[in-house]
Amino acid sequence: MMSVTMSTKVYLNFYNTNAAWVIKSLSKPHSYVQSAAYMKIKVAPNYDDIEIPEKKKLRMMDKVPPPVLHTASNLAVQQRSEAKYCRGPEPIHNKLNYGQYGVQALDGGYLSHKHMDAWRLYINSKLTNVMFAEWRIEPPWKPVTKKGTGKRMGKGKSSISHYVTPVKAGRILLEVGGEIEYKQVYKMLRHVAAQCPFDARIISAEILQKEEEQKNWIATNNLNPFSFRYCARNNFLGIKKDLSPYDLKWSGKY
Amino acid sequence: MAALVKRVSPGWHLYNNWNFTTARFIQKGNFRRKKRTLTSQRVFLLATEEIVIAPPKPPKDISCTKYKAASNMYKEEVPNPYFEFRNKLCKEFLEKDESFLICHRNPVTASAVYDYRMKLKQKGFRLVFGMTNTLLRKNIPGTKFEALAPYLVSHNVLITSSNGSDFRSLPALLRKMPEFILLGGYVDGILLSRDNLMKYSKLPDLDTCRSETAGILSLIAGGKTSSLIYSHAQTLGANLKQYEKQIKEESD
Repeated sequence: MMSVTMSTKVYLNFYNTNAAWVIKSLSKPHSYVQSAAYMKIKVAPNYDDIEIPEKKKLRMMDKVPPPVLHTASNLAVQQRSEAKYCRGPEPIHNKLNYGQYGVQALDGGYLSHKHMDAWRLYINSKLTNVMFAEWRIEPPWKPVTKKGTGKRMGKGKSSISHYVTPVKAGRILLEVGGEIEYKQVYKMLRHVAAQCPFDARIISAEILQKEEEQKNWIATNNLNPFSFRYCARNNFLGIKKDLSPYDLKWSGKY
Repeated sequence: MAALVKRVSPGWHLYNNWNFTTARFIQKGNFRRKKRTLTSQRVFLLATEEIVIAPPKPPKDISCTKYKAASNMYKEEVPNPYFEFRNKLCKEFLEKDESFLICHRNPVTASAVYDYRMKLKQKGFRLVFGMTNTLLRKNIPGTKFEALAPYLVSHNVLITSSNGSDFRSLPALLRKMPEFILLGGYVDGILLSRDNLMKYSKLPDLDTCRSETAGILSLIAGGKTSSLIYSHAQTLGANLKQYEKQIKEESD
């Protein structure tokens, strides 16, 4: 038994050495051809049109918003947890200001100060002199209340525990730009998209343009005369029973 | 009751109104997960789906040049200065009007390629890897090399002569290089296939051909008849009698 274990150990030690690697590589058939050729140098992209702002890094967001009502006690007021701030598509902040790269939300939800601080620290550490980043969301302003542990229901609305920013589907959260390409941006921003509490993706101006063109092409070349909007409003198949008023507004997409 | 119902069917609250079913000690539903749509909703969505006929893709079972030309219709060619430089080199190579041969290249080791290159160099030939099929196919149409297009499909190698050496010795050389398979070429202003090249290699030297033609021409000019006529009378008479006999035998 001892001899077997020793031989296996020796075999494993040899297998991990450089000599074994050289022998393995020689036994493989090399099916490449060496030939003198010109080096294939890629043409460098042109960054003359890009304007880098003065403040390149992401600014720090306040945890608590400044008080809106200047009362004597200066206390913050609780709000209802309204889903209207997260429902539906984003009508305004769904385009890139600097026309380069960014993170877009695909669903609605809430973002807290924890998310923003983590992204700020990570992205500011990865930025170089030739890159910049900017927030496209507001600092947290919507109060969220929480009851203490073990407390029974009732006895009024509880106190505020933290603040959040509501986000709608299609909203752009961050923008990154400068002398940078999509591959480098993807490595930076994939963590941001993964840490969102809702679905998010990394976009560039080309992706948005292609999607718009595709949407317009589909709208012009659609052969189906029965559109969702028309059929829903006229109660085809009695479908109003199973649809919500938001489906009539947004054609079943949100 | 609610707890009992929860144990029986875990997703029951998704199909029921959540407002009437809230209670203590019940697991909060996962609102991020999309609800399963009802059959009526699914039927409605399928009926109102957008029907679009996409543009046709280029077919794959046509020849290489036509496939590339068809696929380039859907792509915009971006001008690449490196490609233009190589294109210029290819045009100069074709305008030189040098004779070259095309060989198919099977997978081969780098050391073997070096050996073959040295052997060919000793005989006065040169291996060329830089002229790719895409470049040649772009510059061939409209020239005398248009018929070589069927050979420019797979991995290829060109063999040219650096000193103007004779291409007749190449088929024998290429027998020692099994990875290079002769396809055809352009030799002395003529496009040749593989069979024609093998015939060309079996032809004798130019000097021997010239000497043969000179001999034939001298015969036509009357070299032999004059020697026969100016020979001795006896020999001439004997030759003439023999000639007469031959004609009679042939006519019989």
